Amino acid sequence: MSTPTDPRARVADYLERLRDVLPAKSAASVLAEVSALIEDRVELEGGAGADGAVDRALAALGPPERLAAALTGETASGDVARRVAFGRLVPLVFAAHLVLAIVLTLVGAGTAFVPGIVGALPTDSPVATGFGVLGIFFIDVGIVAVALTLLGRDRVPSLLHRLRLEMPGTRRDAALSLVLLALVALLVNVPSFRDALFALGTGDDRAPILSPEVLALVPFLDVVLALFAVRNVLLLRSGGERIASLAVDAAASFAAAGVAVLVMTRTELVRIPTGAGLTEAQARTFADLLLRVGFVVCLVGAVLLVARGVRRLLRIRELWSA
Amino acid sequence: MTDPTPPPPKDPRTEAELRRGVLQLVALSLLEEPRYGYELVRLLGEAGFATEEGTLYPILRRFEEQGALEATWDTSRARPRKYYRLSEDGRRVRAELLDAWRRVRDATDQVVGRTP
Repeated sequence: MSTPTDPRARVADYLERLRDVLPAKSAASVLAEVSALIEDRVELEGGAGADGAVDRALAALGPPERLAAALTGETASGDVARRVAFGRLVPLVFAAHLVLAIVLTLVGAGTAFVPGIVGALPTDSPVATGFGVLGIFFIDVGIVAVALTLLGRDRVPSLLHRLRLEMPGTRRDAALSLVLLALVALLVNVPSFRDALFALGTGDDRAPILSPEVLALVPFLDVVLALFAVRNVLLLRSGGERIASLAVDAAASFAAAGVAVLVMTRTELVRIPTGAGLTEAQARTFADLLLRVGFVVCLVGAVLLVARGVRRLLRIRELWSA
Repeated sequence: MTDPTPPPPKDPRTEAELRRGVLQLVALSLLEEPRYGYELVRLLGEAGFATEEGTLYPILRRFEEQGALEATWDTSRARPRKYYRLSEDGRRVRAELLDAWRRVRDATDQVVGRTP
């Protein structure tokens, strides 16, 4: 866990860590009061520029987790951090685990990926599928509980620090992302651009390679691009995260994960023309290799996107209750 | 003649723990007039009850939630500052704490003997 060097940034970092472990309903008032306490001490010690003034003010308050424990009446600072970390990790792990199970079910994996933990969902009946999902949830609750116990009380706050839920983003990032999204949309939707990039051969022999199965997913990809564009427009207008931009970001993340899962169900990603200097067997091997690489990339991407979507939902819940 | 055995070194934590036990009573006693958090930390330090914001603030917050303290934000300054003041309920709480402290002091005197 790195500590910012700028005194103001250190105060902001402290307050963020404190907000992370406070009950949402009291967070705003506590942060205002603690912020006033810090500023009073720093001012009387010569201001934020005075040597060590900010560090002494923060040290006088103690670690954020301990202060939160004293405020909430919990027995130990590690317990506060552990409770919050548990509440964040379980939905993240469950969502990632569920995506893996759905993918394994869709591709018809017969055997468990990790016996007893990661495997396809039962599809005999809706009830069986429901119990399969419930089983995944209970496994994940257990995994997270064991992981946090093994990690130890002292190291949980640093884990929590990395599990922050805020949606990073400035107006500049949003503007750059919009430009990038526009370029991707052009590339995907304009056949001449698309075929110029995804093609093999030269001159008259140059032939597009994307399979019809993949091209059929273009409308879905457009929806994802549009959602991310709306998210960036909202960010441009507000200059920071708001419930609306978080909700659109979550929807875009889940939609993108859905597209990644759809890509994984394709039987062919590229169709290599045999006239491109490759024999038919070589072209098939190359296409098969790309299919496998694409599967792995999309699997990892889907898991990360779902985790991102869940984080946004948790953040919305946090802001809503505040 | 041998040197007398030196007394064991004084552990500052022992005294700090004793003082912490009466911190709530002393803090409430200093809040007859409105004071802000860091001002109270300084006054406590000057009175020999050195404490830090991380210890005092949860106490103030709890008293405020219980209605023993009334709090108001002074927004007339460049930076808003929160002032605490004893309420009527707070005076009752302080009287109860004072009674409790006297009972503890008397009981202690009974056991260890009245100090000169």
